[in-house]
Amino acid sequence: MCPFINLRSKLEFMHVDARELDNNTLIEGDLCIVGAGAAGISMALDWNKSGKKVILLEGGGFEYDSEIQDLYSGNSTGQRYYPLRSCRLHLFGGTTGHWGGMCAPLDPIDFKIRSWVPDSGWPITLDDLVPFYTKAQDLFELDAYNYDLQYWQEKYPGLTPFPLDNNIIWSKMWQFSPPTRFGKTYKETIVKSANIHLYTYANLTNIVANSEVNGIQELIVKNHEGKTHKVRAKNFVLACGAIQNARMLLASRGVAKKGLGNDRDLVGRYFMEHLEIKSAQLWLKNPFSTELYTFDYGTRKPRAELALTEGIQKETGILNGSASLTPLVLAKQQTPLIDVWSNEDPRKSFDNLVANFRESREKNRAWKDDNGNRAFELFTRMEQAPNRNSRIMLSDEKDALGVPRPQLHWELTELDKYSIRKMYHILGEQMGKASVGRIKLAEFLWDENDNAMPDQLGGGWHHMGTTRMSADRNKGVVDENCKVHGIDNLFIAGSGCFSTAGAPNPTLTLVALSLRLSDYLKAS
Amino acid sequence: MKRRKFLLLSLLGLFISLVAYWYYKFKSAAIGDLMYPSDLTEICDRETLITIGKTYRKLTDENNKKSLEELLLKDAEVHHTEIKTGLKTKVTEDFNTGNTILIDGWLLSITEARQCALLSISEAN
Repeated sequence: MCPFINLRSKLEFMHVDARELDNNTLIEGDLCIVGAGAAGISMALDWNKSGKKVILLEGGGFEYDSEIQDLYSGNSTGQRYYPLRSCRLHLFGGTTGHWGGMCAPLDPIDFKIRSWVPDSGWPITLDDLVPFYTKAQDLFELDAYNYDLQYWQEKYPGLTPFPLDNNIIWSKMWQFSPPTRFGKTYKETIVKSANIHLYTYANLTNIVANSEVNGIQELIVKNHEGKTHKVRAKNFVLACGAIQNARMLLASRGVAKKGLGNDRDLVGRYFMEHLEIKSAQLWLKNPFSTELYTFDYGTRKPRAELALTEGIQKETGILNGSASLTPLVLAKQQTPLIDVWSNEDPRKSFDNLVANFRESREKNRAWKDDNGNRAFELFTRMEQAPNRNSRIMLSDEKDALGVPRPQLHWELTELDKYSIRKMYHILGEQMGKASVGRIKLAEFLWDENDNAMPDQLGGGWHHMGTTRMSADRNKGVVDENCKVHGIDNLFIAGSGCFSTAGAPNPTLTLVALSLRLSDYLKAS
Repeated sequence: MKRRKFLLLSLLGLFISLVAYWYYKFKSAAIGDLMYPSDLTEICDRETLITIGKTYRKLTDENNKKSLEELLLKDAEVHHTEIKTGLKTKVTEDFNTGNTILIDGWLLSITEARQCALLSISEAN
């Protein structure tokens, strides 16, 4: 036989379309990772050439499939939110297929217990994640793991911060991934791996626990072809995203009547998003080079956001957040993201988003003024306070494979609104004190007695906290190693494990956390 | 004798006139400085300053021109012999101590808000 054919058939064997398997096929391995998005692929790559048989299950295929995407449909109540169907992608590569590439680590304060933030505190610290942030940087094709302004000023001397009080305001640096589309970038490595066995069109529909509910026996996967398969492994990792992970734990009620890992009624609770909204205008007294703060379209040059120090957060009792700058002439033309991303089809919503940015730039070609702009929009990016009532539940309606659909109730608290308002008061005071300029708050922040958030508030499509981490099983679904409390071989990867959200986009951190889990599983 | 007396009286009159003129000019400049917050004037147009002033007067009932002038002069003199510099220092101090107010969304120092109030009264007159 031709050696090429031998090689080819061997390569293809590592990727199996589960629709083409015989019904009731038993799939077995050492480690089973459910979900081939940022978390799942990062973990699988970490196990490449490990000699262990890794089963990577993906509900979709390599290309967008509307029937598969529809499995993500669901309803939401409470604070207005994006359609659940389109705010994630259900295919190999997951939501990295349409993410923006913004990367920054959490801050030390994000991991601490803060007396003014109920249910704050992680059982790990930033230092525990640093080695894994470093590895995650490579996966996202980023520069070195260095987010200090001084480091970047050596590379870009024009990065000058406003002359503000360093004890109150600091420059939170961001790096930009190309953005790396995991589905495209890592497909070949995964498919060619000798020990990673990728199964596409293998949708998890049930997690079967043993009678004591302290171990997982097998997973049931299905597809639209009517095929049902079983997956057995020593360890199982759910890496389907914060909404889907919670949904599957809640829906797996065979032995555990309230759902797996849910004997303390915590699964799905503490759903968090980032509070993202146009919040104020900054008017400078004199033109100032804002190169440090301005997103340079078409390049991957890092930029900074105005952030509040740990000390001032503690002193004023507010959440962690930052503000980005966009020239006002440009920002005025941009529709709020929540209005742009309203289509149930993620491809159409994405196109609307791109068109929104492109049109605003084309209408205002003078936005990039060499002498510096004097008016900017300030856009908030802030953590949401952990809130038990903000949650993922199960709907009475089922999807095409018989799994109850998710129901999101997104609920905010007074602390959220107070923190945004206070942040801009502080920024305004600092700008005035330094004679840099003045800040004009958006109308929704004028009335101190108004705790409601306007409908223009959007999230960042960042779903966090539904399987939160705590060393205490009464306060969290997973422990410090992302293991589901009480179940020996079930782990959760991703931002669902975040105890608090931090201000930055979660992708870099969720991958770092997944790599830490990977390390733990290898060691154990 | 009469001639000398006449010359002396003329010189005295001229001196008094010069002093009055100088005082008038100084006061006009001072009042001008009182009405225009230096930083905010670089940021907002006159119309916006007047609108801010009107809103401040509604929010605080500080509607009296004389009392506003007195408040501002007092604040200025504490900080500097020159009114403009004194007020600028007071504005910085306001931001430093949280002596601020939100007017039509603008986070402003109380001092500069009073300056706008004075401007709006002058404009109305």
